[in-house]
Amino acid sequence: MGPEALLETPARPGSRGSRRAGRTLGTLRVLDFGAVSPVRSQSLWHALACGVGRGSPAALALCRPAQPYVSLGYHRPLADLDLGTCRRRGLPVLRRLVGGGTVYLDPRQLFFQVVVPPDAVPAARSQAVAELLGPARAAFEAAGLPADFDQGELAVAGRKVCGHGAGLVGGAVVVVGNLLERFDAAAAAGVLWAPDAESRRRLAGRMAECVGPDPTWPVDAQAFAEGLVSAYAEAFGVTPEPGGLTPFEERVARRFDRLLGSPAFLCGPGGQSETQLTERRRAEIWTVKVRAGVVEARVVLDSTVLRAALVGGRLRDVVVEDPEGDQDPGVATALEGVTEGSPALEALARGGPSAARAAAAAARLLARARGGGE
Amino acid sequence: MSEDDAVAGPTDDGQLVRVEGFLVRLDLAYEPDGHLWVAPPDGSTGNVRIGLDPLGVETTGTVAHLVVGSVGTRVRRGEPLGSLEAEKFVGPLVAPLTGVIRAVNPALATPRQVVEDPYGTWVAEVLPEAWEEESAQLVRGADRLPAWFADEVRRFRLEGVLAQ
Repeated sequence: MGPEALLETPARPGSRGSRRAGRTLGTLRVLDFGAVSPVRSQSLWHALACGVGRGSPAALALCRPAQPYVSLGYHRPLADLDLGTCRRRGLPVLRRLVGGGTVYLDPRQLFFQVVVPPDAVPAARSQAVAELLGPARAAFEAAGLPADFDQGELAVAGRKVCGHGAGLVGGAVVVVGNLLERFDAAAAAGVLWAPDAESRRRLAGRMAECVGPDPTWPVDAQAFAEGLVSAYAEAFGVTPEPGGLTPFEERVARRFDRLLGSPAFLCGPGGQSETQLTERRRAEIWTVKVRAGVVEARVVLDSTVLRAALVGGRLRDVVVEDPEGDQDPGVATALEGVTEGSPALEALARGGPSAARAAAAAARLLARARGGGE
Repeated sequence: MSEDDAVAGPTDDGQLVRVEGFLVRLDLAYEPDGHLWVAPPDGSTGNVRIGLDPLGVETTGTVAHLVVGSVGTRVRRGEPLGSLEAEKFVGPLVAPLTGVIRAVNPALATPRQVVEDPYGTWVAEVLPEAWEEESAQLVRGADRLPAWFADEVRRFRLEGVLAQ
């Protein structure tokens, strides 16, 4: 079973068969798998998608991983990861057939998956994702997290509380998400490749600020699960029907068990993982998207190292390290809040060599951000 | 806007017209479901270049990743030529023709280029196996393309995929 064969048509808005036919869903299968192994927490819903793609009714599934692991979005390079750390910590690494980033997953995250036929959702990707993720908002509220959509993500007070991804798998549209009951920022930052310890420290701090509920917020996972079922049943206008996988889906799940962590599949659709790893380590700009609109970055230009967060296109928490320069703290201060094309960049560029290098590094980072580099 | 207004006159080179706000090249063929453009076979190699048309780009959303199969891979019309991710949604890029992938545009490492220059950024070169037969299923011809494209834009607007 090649992965490309699983990304079946229809693919993009307007693709054959993807036009919205106003189809109503006759029923909603509800499958609560409980705590399962890392690979099962992925293979079960991949198989479910293949079943729905073959004509089974729409489905809502729930599970949580019994152990921590790492999951790569379909297109993310293996070079995102510090594989040595993953190995040392015994973390399985799996690739999924839906989009999104490279993420650390653990038992404090409750996964949910919504699987529907393609003609049950709008043709446009963003609309399909929003429509399928929308009902989850009520479940987050029931869990004690009054989330709203913020730049396409469910967030509370600027903190992302739900990771998500989507795709066409086995002929069905799938949206996956998770309730982050608690988010282990240090562990999540630790599995990602970073150019130095300081970059990883800053990344962990940024994640702690922006991802997962505040540790003081109570989160009720049981209420979330119950709210999820009722919210989707109401949104689809159907009665939920608890059940399990069909024999066909069971067989397909076993095939996904073998596929998702296999070396060839882990290399990704573009392959060249070694090349990507080398390029990433040599790149002058390192970035990690922490959440929508928030990126942690490091830029090396000649001898200058610029560390910064990009928040809504503005530089934040800027640190400039220049062993050959005069280490003027005013340079970092001048770069705070700067956006692309800002006069402050030009002013610094006309300053001394150290300030000019820092300004050039900042300009490169801001240009990269405009280009959607992360 | 009347139907006549919706289809503007040719631009400088006579091969490019503006239809409902989108540029349409009249010298290309179009896969109507996937909104891919297909250039006629190159005279010396026989290869055809394939790309996303501006309406395909607009309705896809912000393209984060676009990956085409390896050179030498045989693809069949209607089956995946590669994969595309936008808005965290992954789906296949559907082959408009049957043939063998001869080249993949290295510019795809920066998918933004497809968005900024849909006609200038080809995705793949394919040596077609059945050009005459399969190209008949594509939309082409300067007399037909503007009206077809305008209908497509109106359909997407009605479906809410495009803003009115």
